[in-house]
Parts: sequence; structure tokens; C-alpha cells
Amino acid sequence: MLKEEFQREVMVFQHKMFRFALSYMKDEDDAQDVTQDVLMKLWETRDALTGKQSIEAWAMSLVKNKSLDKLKRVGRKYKTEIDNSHHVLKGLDTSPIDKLANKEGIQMVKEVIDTLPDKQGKAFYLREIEGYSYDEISEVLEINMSQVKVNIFRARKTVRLSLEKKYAYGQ
Amino acid sequence: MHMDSKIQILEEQYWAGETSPEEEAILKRAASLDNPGMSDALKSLFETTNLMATNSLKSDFEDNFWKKVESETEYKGKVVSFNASSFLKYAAVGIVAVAFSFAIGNLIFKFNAQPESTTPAYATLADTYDSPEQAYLEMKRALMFASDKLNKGQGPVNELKKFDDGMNAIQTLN
Repeated sequence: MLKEEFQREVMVFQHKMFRFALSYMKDEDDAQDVTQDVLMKLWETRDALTGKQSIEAWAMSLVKNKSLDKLKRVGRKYKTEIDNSHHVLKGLDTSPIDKLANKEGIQMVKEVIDTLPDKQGKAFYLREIEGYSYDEISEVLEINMSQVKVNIFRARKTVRLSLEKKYAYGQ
Repeated sequence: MHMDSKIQILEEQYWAGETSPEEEAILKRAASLDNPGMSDALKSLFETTNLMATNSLKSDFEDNFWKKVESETEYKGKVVSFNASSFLKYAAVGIVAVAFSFAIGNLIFKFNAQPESTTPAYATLADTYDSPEQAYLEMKRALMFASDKLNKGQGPVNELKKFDDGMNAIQTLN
């Protein structure tokens, strides 16, 4: 596979890979490193990519594994602290949404998403942020379809209850 | 059915995980339009996820990536890669050469070496008689001979002693 083809077929979803890595690493620099490492591996094995049914799903799966490896090596647990969320929502300050209430609301939602259990959180993320089908989520997370549906259902239920509670009681 | 009602029904289906991507797109559009039929929870959820979807890599990421690819390719070209099959080929030739030299050297050494005695040293100390009785009789005969000669030798030894005493006497006189 030539460079031009690699750019067309693989580099095109580099940002998705970055966002997915960010959902694990909770740090932009670490997420960038993961993305670069995975792209390097994809480049080195580019000749084998033409046989893959979905290069994107394969790449995202590699991001997942690389992120988990890195987290294991560093010894960090899945970060759920609120203070990390501001590294992620870098568009918050520059977005047209300039009402304080909205910003706080967004931060609150982010916190709820971040505290979802791992598999639920990742399935939810791939569906809500990247718009993946259940098939694609199954392939990336290496779980079967029924597990995807259950995780999405549970994640949405948890998010709904948390948000309705926050909106009802202002917590 | 009123649009707001449709949206409410769709929202319930969404929370139950029963909506398709197309139906979720409808809900997201309704949220962006601040549809009154939609809950604040879902509106804020979509607002947040839309914002999260805008996160992206830095603008120089791709340039840096290709620079790294080029530098890695250059490095790998300079380093002599370890080729297991070549190594084994050379190792096999070396082993054969060493074994051949050893064999030749051994042959030469054996050709020049003195023939070794096949008789062990201890064999010279082995018995010369077939039976213990015979050995005993021979030993007895040898001892009697020695005893006889010892007595016979006493005379010449005495004579020698006299000669020695005489010589000593002459020396003291001188």
C-alpha cells in the first residue's frame, strides 16, 4: 500500500482514533502518543490491511488495546476525576455556547459519561460520539451483539437517571 | 400525530436502546432546534456529545507522523538486520570446518604416536606360578638358598673386615 492510499484509507479516521484513545487516557498528550503508535503499526503492516473487512474497526480495536496496555504499564486506573474533563472539552471555551449554565451543564454531563463502567462507557462512547452501528461496536470492543445492546441500554439508563436527578435537584 | 409527541415517543425508544442511527439523527436535529417535546436531560446529552465529537488532533500531527516514518525507515536501512537463516548457514559451515580439522588433527596425531603397550603395568606384578602350592615350594627353595649363601658369605666378609682393619692401622702409623 502506497503512502497516498494509506492517507486515504487509514489517516482519514485519525481524529476518531484520537478521541477514542482520549476516552481511555483522559490526557491529550497520552492519547496522541497512542494514536501515533497505532498508526505506525498500521503503516508497518499496511500490506496486510487490504484483506481487512473494516480497516477503521481494526484501527479502533488497536487503539483500545494500546490504550489499555499503556494504562496497565503506567499503573493508572480509569480516570474519572472531574478535573480531567477540562482537558477533553477544549471546544467549550471557544464554542458559541457562552452561557455559564450551559457550560456547567455540559461539564456535568461529561462527568456522568466518564463515571460509566468501562464496557458501558466505551459502547456508549462509540455510539453517541462516533455514531457507530451495533455491528461496528461489537467488532471494535470484541464483544457480541447482545452484549453491545445490553451495555448501551444500561449506559443510557444510568445517564438518564443521573441527568434527571441533577436537573430535578440541581446536584 | 403532533411532532412533539413523536419526539417524546422516539425519546423513550432512545433511552430503551431501541432507536436506529437514523432515528437518533432525528432526535439530535430536534435537540438542536430546542424541541419542547424533548427532555432537558436528552438535550444536554446531545449538546455534550456533539461537542466531544469535535475533539481533534493538533494540526502538525500528520506532518510529525510522516517525519517519524521517514526517520524509522532510514534507521532500519542503516542497521544490518539479523537474518536467522544466514546466521545458521554460516554457523553450520563453521561447525563442519572445526569438526573436519579436529578429525584430521586426530588422525595425524594417532599416526605419529607411539604404539601403546596393551599390557597394563600391574600385569608385570602378576603371579608367575599357576598354583599356590607351587609358588610356596619355590619360595621355600629361594629362602633356603639365600640362607645357605648368607652363611657361606660370612667367611669372605670376615676376611674383608681384617683387610680393612689392617689398612686403618697402617694409616694411623703414618
